[in-house]
Amino acid sequence: MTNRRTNPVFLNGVPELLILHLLARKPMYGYELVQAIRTTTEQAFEFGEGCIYPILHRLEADGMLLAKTETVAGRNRVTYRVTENGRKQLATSVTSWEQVVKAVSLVLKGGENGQPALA
Amino acid sequence: MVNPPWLEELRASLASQELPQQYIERLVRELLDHHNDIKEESMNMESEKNSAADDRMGQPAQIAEAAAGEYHTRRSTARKGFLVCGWVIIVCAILAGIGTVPIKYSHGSANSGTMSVNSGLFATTVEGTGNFTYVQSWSISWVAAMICGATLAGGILLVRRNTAKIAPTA
Repeated sequence: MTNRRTNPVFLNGVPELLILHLLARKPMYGYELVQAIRTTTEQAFEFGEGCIYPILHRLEADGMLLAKTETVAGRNRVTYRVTENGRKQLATSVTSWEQVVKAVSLVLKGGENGQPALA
Repeated sequence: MVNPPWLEELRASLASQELPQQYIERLVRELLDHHNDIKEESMNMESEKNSAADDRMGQPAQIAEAAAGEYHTRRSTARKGFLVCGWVIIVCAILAGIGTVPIKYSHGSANSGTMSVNSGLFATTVEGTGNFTYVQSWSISWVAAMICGATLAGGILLVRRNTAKIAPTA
């Protein structure tokens, strides 16, 4: 077994943001969700796929997700869907994320024109 | 289907993290499903499929650590919240007890004529004739009782929220 990182150095809250966003589009089970993350991010994140479940369970316990055992293609799957609270949290997280991206972009774009703090 | 060694290692790692058996069972079931899904993607030999799936799932010890981290953080938050609520309730209960004193000693004074004040915990009646003034301070007992009730309700909600059962699914 290679030493794949189980919990990569994600930014805080990013896995939750991705999970809520993707599940808000449609309910999915764990494997399906991981494939959706890999596809939509063009495999930008390398992570142990098993690490998604503790996060899903936390979001479920926090009332952001609802888990239900359903039969999908002849197999019993635990599918996750976003609750109303989850949608509210998603909206808040998206706003926060956009602010962070905007702020970091400003620094990166304006970095060369920045004045040093001390002369 | 025979469980892959990866799963047995994961079970052992989860057991060492002092997680509830019910939660371990659910986690293992979902992870095994995921492991099987990865294997179904592949056209390789069984041993290669297992190896590839093990690799993609991540190291059992790290998954167990992540699961325990998420689980115990929630438990710890609930425990701290419960302790804080407990202390607030005790303090408010004491204040509520002390707060009955101002009601019992609320009083009036007659400038001319007569008056009488009957103070109780739930009602105060003032009777009199002529010109009199009556002073009663707002008892802190009710404020304390309200804080006490609100804290109790908040505490119950917090504990329920943070100890919500993750397993099994509906």
